[in-house]
Amino acid sequence: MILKVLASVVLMVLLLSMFTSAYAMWNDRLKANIKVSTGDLDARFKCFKIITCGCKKPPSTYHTSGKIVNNGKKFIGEFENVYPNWRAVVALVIENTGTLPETLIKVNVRVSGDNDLLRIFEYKVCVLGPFGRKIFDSPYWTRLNHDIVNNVICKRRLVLDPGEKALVIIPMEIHGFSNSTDLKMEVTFDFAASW
Amino acid sequence: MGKTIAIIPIFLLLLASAGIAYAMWSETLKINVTAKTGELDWEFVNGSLTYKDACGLQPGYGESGGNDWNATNLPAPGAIQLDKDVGCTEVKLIDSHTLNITLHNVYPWYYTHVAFKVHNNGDIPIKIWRVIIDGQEFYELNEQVLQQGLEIDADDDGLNDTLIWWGDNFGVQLHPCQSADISLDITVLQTANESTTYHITISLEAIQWNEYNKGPIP
Repeated sequence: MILKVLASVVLMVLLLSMFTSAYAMWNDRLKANIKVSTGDLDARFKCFKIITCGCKKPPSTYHTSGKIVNNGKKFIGEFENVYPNWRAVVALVIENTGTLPETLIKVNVRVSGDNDLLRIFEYKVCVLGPFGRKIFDSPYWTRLNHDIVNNVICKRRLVLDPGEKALVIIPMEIHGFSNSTDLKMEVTFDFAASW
Repeated sequence: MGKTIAIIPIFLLLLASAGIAYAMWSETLKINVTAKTGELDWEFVNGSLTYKDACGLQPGYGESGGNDWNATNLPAPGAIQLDKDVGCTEVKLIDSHTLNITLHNVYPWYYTHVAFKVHNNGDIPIKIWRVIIDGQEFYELNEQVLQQGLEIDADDDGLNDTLIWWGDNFGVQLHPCQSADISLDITVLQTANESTTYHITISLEAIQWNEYNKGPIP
């Protein structure tokens, strides 16, 4: 019991002496608060247009539809009762909806349908831009047709600043005859923060 | 009764001795000691702040242009200026002891440099003792971790997101009214997350010059 009391007293004296020496050293502190807010990297399909080309009026059974899904990350187009020498163009507007510049590095197109039809189906992908708000006044959008890609230089990679837009043009055609007549197209894109 | 009679002469003797003491002339000399302690105080110098890529600058090259700086040379120090104005740096002196540095809309490899002056506005000399970055204490510039800068995991996700290079004046003595330059580099690392805000606190501590010792309190 006496030993315990003695140990406590020694400990207290030691603690007190440390406390005292800390107080004896005067000091003053300056503070720098650093706040780092990182930006947002995001892009989305904003709108689309499907144009059926050719001099003849399409058959009444022919029908196209499209929709943007996955919060702007995917486009799905459906083409029913396509016909020999069918030609169409899908045009998609991609907008940089983030706060950082980004590079559109790849447009991925996946076409599904009967193999017999896919054998005679062809498409190309062309990326144009960057555009500001005036994209909808551009001839690419207003006078869109199958031949437009023959008159422009398509880009493989494209840098978009925040708010800027790119136009993805996908001309498609069918060479020949097939018993199957329905196509489905899915379009997605990849982008990166590098610029 | 006998005891009482004995006490009376003792009492008289005591009184007599007191009378003798009173009779001895005396004079007192007095030393008054006043210890007025000085003040240990230092501060950021208002108007001494300089930093790269200030918010509000017009896009362009050079120190007066708003184009961003990229830590291209990492792990070596320094940066090159990019062709875009995306992020920016804002530095505000909140009071003489608090500096707020904010990096807006930044991204991996974004780099900025902040420099300022500190000033001894106290009465006694001071020495810059240590810097505490995100809870870690440093007492000298060339400690191993600071040679390559200090990588910080500000959001505790297990990945370092920010790199701080500290260009400090450890051990430098500042007499009253003297000032010293201090600067730091901040780089956003590749593993930083999008749309995230990181907070880092840097404390800079000075002590009275005669107590300076390189290292923690012994």
